[in-house]
Amino acid sequence: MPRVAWGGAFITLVALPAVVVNPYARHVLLVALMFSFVALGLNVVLGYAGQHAFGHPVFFGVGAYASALLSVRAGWPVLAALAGGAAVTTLIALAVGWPCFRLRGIYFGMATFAFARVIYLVAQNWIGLTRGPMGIPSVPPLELLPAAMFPGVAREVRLHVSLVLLLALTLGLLHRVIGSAVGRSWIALRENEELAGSLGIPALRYKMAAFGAGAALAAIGGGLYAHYVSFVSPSELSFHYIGIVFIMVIAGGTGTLIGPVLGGLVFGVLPEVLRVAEQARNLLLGSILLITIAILPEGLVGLWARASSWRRVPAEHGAETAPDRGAPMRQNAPLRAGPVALPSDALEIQSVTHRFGGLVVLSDVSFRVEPGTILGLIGPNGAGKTTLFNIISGILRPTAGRALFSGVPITECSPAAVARLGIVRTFQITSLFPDLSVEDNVRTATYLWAHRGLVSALAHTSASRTREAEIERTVEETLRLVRLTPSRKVPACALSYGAQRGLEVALALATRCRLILLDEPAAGLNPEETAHLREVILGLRSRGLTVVLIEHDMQLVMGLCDRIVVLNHGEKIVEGSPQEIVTDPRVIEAYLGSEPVRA
Amino acid sequence: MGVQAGYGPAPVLQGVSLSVREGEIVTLIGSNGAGKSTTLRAISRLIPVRAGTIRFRGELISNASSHLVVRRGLVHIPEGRRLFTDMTVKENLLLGGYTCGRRELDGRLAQVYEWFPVLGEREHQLARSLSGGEQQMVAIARGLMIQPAFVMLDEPSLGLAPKLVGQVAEMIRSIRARGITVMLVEQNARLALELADRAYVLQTGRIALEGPSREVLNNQEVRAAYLGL
Amino acid sequence: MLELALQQVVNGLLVGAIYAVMALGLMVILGILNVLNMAQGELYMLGGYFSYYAMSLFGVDYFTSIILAMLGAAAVGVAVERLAVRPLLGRSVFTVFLSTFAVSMMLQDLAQILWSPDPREIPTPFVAKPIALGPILLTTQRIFVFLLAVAAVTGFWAFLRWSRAGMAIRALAKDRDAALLMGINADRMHAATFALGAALAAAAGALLGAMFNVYPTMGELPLLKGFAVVIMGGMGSTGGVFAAGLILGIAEGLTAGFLSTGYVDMVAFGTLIVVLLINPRGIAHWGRSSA
Repeated sequence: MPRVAWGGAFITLVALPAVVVNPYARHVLLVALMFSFVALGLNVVLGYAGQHAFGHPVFFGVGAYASALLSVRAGWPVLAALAGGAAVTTLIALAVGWPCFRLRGIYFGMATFAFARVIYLVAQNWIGLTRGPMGIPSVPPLELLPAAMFPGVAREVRLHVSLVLLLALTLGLLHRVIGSAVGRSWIALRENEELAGSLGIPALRYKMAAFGAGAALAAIGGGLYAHYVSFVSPSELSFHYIGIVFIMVIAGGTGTLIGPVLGGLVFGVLPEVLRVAEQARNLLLGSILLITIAILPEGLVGLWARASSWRRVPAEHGAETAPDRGAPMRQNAPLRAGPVALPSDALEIQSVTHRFGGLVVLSDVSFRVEPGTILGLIGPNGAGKTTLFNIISGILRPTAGRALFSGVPITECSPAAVARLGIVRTFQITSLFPDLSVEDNVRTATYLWAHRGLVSALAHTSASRTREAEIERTVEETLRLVRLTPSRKVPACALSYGAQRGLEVALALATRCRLILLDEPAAGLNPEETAHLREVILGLRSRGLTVVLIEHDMQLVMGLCDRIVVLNHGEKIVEGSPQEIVTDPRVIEAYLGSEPVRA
Repeated sequence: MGVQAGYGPAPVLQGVSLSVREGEIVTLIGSNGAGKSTTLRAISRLIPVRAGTIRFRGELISNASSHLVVRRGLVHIPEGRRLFTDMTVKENLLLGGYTCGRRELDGRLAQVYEWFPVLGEREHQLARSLSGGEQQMVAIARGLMIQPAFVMLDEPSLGLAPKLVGQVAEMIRSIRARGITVMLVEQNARLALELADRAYVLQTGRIALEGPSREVLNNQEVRAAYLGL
Repeated sequence: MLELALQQVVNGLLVGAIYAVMALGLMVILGILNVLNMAQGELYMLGGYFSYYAMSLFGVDYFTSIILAMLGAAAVGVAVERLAVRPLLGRSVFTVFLSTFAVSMMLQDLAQILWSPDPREIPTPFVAKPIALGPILLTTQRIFVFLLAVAAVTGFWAFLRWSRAGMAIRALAKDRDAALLMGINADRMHAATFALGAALAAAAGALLGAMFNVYPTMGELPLLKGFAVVIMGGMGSTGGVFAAGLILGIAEGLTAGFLSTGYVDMVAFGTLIVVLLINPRGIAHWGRSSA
């Protein structure tokens, strides 16, 4: 959205109390603003990081309790209690998230939901701390803009303005985080966790970070609410409020920053409306939820985007950060592919054996790949080539044997660790971040050498600006190399098959690794695309990278590789130069079978 | 039998048209990623058809659900065999006969054991404990349980030793001998062309060449690309 | 002391068997459709209410009312699948979750409105006087409940193992594409799975509801405990889930006997955390290391 629109929205929001005079309506508006924080929090975990943390909105109630207790029991001033409450809630969230993240997908979600119920039960039963169902009364009110400074302005108006300012500040910070490597890593986890891991992004760390950050946001909303209604009770931890937050997030639309705010504002009226329905409040809640799911599949944001046919760019900002900031781009700067392959960068496979149940997939395979060379790994389908790649890249542990890179054993490493050591791969089935634009895909791949952490993402230091400029340079160069520059803003899922394969190579290249494993990069390419691929791979070698290539296209393999290893039924049957391989009778038999050709 | 597929689901298949006549063995060859498996999956309705039509014995099936296609007598024996590994051989076969009536089931099972005696010996063994060749046998036997009119085989020679490949070829010939029409997808082009009557060559989602298999076998480009000559 | 422990263990076993029944209903829906049926607790609750009303309105005996409750709940389950799950099958996991969550909330309120929040008691034909088995006291009701629960678990296992529909359901869970190629009608199997899961939940509700009380929110905790039992037992393993259910029941019983009844409900979550930290794949896969 253009800056003008944002500015206009901000001003309108601030000025609302001038138009909305009815005290009940003003109350609803305030509650809506507070809930926007909670919706933003859930959106960070669910919409950006893609983690199905179903029970997450409970941290709204936890934040309310934490802030209330700190100010009522410990006598902290309100602002300190708010901040402290958010901190405590984040810690609780991390403690809850840690065991839950041992599960995946739905199971993870249900576990968080179960913990939400536990928290409710604790609040109900731990009378000593929370006074149980009686709740905590007389929570001191919030005064962000003190009356003394603004005489004559009604309390709700001051509160309203201060909330809008706080919301704007929060949105600004979130915007920077989402646009940084942290945000990109979250989105990468959402789009394709396996690929993110093989590009070096440590999954658990970022999942926990999203979980905690979202909890902090929800806690702020909860704390604000507590100090506004001056009363906290276990019902704030109930499924009822969790359901309200769900509606806001779904109705607004996940994966954008406006979405939850819109949802919060539009549906902020829900707590009041539902309260009126009394006995039937959950019935009404459920119906509204179902209707929202049915008619707003992409949320209000999705509706709007469709109506004005904007193309939604989920990471929101590549173009903004590029030319404006940092050192001017030098057009002819050579692509720094990272450190040139060192002489010790050999890949060694030692007696690798692997079994799947009773099936022996690899049997005592050994070979060595010299740095700076191209090795072809060929053999009929089912020979075990991809399995070998999976072992090298850390997805599988071999039943026996090991692999070493630069003398370092890599067989026990996770995919992210292997990537950190300098090995990156492509996959047999196209693996990209489908909803991200081409350039965002490449940006995400720069994680290994570009990321520094949350703090530097928020602070706008000159070091971070230089780094951002370098990221942009790398993106430019890489896209030019694979001839994807004209499609840079296109979402990856919309590319042609050949272009997608090219993008995969670009991703591997952008990581500045020292060794690339390419799994059937030419599969499905037409002759022209294959010729271009050949150029790209030769270019990789001339930059000092080592390449290991699984391929079936014999012409490509013979013309490209320095050495070739042939696998059949999990065994290495031959190793040698292309000339040696082509004439070796064992290879011919493996591929072509020994049945005579019918004349 | 007139199986025709028009423009298939983008982006993988971009306008594939082929037809198979009753009693034939037709093969679809091509390199990895060309769209061979996708074609079979479209016919057996595992994936949606975006454009074009598929007709089986005169009936339009492009929008049918996969279980309907099976009931019509069209069986797809998928790539990688896809046996239910935690179940026994017998259970796998019974599932193959899922759409049969209860009374017919015993008879069919007995018949399959006749054709593949090894399976009768191993009927209570877990599928995953069998060798590659035996697993392929189970996969084929499973497909034959409903006495289909048309069988589609996806890379049956995958990962098998040359001797076993010969056995698979024999199995395919005997299937045809029973009057069942066969469509064979293979990466092993030589095997496929020797078995089939007619061949289609698929390349990046389109048919690049078609004709009697002997002609395709002798085609210069095919020889170079797929037979390594 | 020992007597108290033994008594609590035996009591716990009985309740635990019911948890297992509940958990199996959740598990089968989760395994086949990859859907977390948040309304499972409400199907449990409906089981209790259907049993109550079958007896009070139609005058059937308790045992028949259980069957009727299972059938009624199965019908509701099929309706839920058809209306709230099937139309959303292409959408995100979160959306489907929200859908069953919404259904759960609506059913709770509906029950409250229709039948008032006052707890009901299902009249049972059992004698109140307990039998003494050594130092342990057992009522005939509890024995009946336990036996029926075991029968349900065994029946469920046998159904999956030997019946045609059971094999089809297992096949769908293992390898969906291959199952479709066998000619299995996925839609019909989905409905059947929901019916099965609902019937199990209803049986649990009718059984436990007669031992304690029937009220609209009675399903909330059993849902979460059922989920905990599925995780603890190991997804896909009937034996593992049964064992986990019993263990949970025993743990709860001991807690009630030696600590305080207030903490009983927390036991499930405590054990869940422990299992998650040690081996998230559950008891059934204990031997293998968590990958």
